[in-house]
Amino acid sequence: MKKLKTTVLIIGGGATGTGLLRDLALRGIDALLVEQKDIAHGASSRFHGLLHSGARYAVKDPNAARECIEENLILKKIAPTCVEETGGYFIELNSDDPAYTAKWLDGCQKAGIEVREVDPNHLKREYPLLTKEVKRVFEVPDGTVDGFRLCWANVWQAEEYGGRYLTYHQLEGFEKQHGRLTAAKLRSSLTGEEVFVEFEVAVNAAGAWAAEVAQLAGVKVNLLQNKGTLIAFNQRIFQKVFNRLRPPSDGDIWVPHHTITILGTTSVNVDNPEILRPTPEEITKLLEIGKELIPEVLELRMLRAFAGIRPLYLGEESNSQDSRSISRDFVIIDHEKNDGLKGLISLVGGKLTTYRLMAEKTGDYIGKLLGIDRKSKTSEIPLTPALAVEEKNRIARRYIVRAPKIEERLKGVTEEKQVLCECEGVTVAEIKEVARWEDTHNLEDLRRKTRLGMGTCQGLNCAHRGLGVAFTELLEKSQEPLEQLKEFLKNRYAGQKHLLWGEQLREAELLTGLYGCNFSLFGGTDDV
Amino acid sequence: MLKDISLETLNHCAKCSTCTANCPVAKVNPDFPGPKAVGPDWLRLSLNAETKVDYPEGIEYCSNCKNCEIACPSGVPVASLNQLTRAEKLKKKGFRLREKLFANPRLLGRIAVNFAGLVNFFTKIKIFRLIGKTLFGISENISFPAYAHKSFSRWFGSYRQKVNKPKNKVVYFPGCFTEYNKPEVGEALVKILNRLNYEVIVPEFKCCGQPAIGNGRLDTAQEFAHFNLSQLKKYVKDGTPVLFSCPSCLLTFKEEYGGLLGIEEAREFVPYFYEAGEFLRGLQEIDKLLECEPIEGKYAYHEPCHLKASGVGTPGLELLNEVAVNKIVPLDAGCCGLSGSYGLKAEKEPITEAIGQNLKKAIDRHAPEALVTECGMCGVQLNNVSGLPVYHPLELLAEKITKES
Repeated sequence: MKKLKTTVLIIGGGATGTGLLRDLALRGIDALLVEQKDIAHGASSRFHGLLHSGARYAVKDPNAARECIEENLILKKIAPTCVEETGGYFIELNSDDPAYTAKWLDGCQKAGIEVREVDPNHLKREYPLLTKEVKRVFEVPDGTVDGFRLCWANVWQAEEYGGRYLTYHQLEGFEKQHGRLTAAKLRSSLTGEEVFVEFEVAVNAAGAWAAEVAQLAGVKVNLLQNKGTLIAFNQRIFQKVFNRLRPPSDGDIWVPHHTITILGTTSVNVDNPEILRPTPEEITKLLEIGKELIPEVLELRMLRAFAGIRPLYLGEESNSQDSRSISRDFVIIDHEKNDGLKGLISLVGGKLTTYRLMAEKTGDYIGKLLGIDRKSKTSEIPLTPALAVEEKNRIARRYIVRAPKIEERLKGVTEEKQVLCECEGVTVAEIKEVARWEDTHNLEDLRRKTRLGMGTCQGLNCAHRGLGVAFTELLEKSQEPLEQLKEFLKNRYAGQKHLLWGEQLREAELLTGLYGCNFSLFGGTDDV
Repeated sequence: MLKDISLETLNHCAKCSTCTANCPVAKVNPDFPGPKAVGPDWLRLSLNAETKVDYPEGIEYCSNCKNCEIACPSGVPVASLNQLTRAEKLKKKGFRLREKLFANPRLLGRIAVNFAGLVNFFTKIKIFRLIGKTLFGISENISFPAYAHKSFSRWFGSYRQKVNKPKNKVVYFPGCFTEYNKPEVGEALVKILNRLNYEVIVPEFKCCGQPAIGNGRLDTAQEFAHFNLSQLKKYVKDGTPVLFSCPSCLLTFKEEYGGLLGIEEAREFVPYFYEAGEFLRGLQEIDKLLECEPIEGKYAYHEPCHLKASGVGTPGLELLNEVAVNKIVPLDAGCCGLSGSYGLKAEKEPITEAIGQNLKKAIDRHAPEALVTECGMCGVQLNNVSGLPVYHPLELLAEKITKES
């Protein structure tokens, strides 16, 4: 058994956890983050990738709107390579209520969100796919954010400041002494090795799994697991975020995310965080609503559907089931105050756009608990360098502190310049280098860091090639390379199978045939 | 037009890479990343600023041979997409004199045909070729198609067609190669058709536009297309078939006018377009003519890529085999590599040569005494690699079936 010691143990490697790790590390507070799978595998990547301007909350939740715009501006400043300053449109259709538009404009002004009205004809010309029903259009400073990249950027910067992290470590239980949690028992899900971590404070930042973590400590966190389903289209349809100008509802956000466009979301309550299956009803609903903006939406090729869980905090005794009315605010629960249990804080609710603020407030709270009075530096110290969204900066933007080695390889060996994943433009050098990293444990991790297999082919060409070129490196991992390929294909198929019609069905059949014939893997379809 | 092609591409491309595997250029030239990379992949990545490059690197190396489109199992207009992108890139870079000249073979032909002896002589002289290379970037070694001393139109103008009443009519589009380089092909067709009681009409035409497309001059191609279509209108309205002896002209009329060039009405003309051999083979009366003196000798046949892309099969070869003593075997060696004016450009010369190696091997294996192909420029390359005489199927057929018995 491995024994570790830390001042703060952070449970959960999403935006909340990694944000806190960075916050604490920059304050010089010793912290260790543990994550059951890979960084950002949960809701931090299973969302639409929208960096809110706050305009969406301008009417319903002025406080959230204000926080959003403030954090939006901070993130654009400190993490320019994780965000894309696309801007966004709010679109009022002829069928929408103009009274809402008036209220919305007022709300935006009060929250300090810059709004500029745009000529709807200009938009119709630029996007012929758009409905003719567009009445008024407003531009707001929405952006997009890459959840994987942001979370890793937090982790890597924290590491430079002494922060530590363990991925693929499952929490199995806590040690309790005199009404205080003192240690956690973890087990590596890759090697089975047990790890014992002593701490002064543990922070439950497990997102959708926060109730389960609390339960292991013998306390209760009242969460509503709210599933949001999204559809990824094969191409970048818009260059800006497109929002419907109406009270927040299903299917009213379109986000251009790298090479694809994401349409979301639905809002369905589920029993546990592992229920991530989009249902046919949700998909039909999204597309029906999507049609209002793009009448020929069914003509566009869809790659996959996926879902994430919003963990909404219900408070002490609330049993509200109307998820859209529950505040998206975050809450810091000190279990000493709530349950008389010392040494555990739960951090629940919130949204990705305000993850930094959440970390700052939690950092302040922990500092007070530990008697360490140091200010948060997360809004001042840049998380990533200021590099414009350009092809020549692609490597530096994506791999941040770890980019130089890849750039070196690209300058050196000609073979490594070859594009391996053609849909996403990922080179051999990236695959080989990222596969070497200690925090890359398999092809799936490789995908999350590079975008390998996230494009049109969904692994048809790139999965076996990736396995091939990085075989030596992947052989060092605890999972058999062929098992890694199997898992990779299984996950690619899991997203596609909800949308298997038209072109994507052909793609999946081709993929199944290819891997079935050559690897006996059937493109992951035999295992789902 | 680009919007339609983009959307089709983004929706239909399965990223299977079959197009790249079938690309003759990608096979021999590592600087060409292949039709998929410069086409569908680039298109998708170019919408995203982080992966966007203005124009795909190496797209100049596409020869528009159409093998990618033939191979694509998803019906993506890969080659068309690539011609559009390449044309845009060339336009931005500025056209060289070379591209402007090659884009309109009619202009060159009209002059050269009057000084054929001189032109043919000079294009064989090393020093002039060297000058051509230095000044214009024109290949120094690949032989130029020789010009005829008398154009097809001049011959046709003075030729008295022998047709019995009642006569059937067809329109014939000779194309620039027949017009200025090898009028024998047109003459052969006219004579055969006359024997079948068809009167041939040859209205005034411009170049089909394929060389203009290949040289990135899409405006020029469009201008030609509109002119040619307007010349054809009244005949097509009466249901008169339009015949082509050149596969590239045929493909341009059939596919590029309505597709790449986006001329909607061109699609309505398509049912009237025939490859000459295709038309002849469809006539019952041809059977009797084929009972002629047999073709002796050992020939091998090369199938032009644009004939393949036209989707008519190899009717010329089949007609020949009806009368040939020795079965004429297809070389089955893929693209010839010359691809019209493509191979005449200095930087493309090594590519053309490398692709042509397959042809050379196949010819060596079959050891024919002469070669047969429909495409004039393929013929130039066949002759380049083998030194053997090259015939259009119509020439060989005409020689036998129009012989007065």
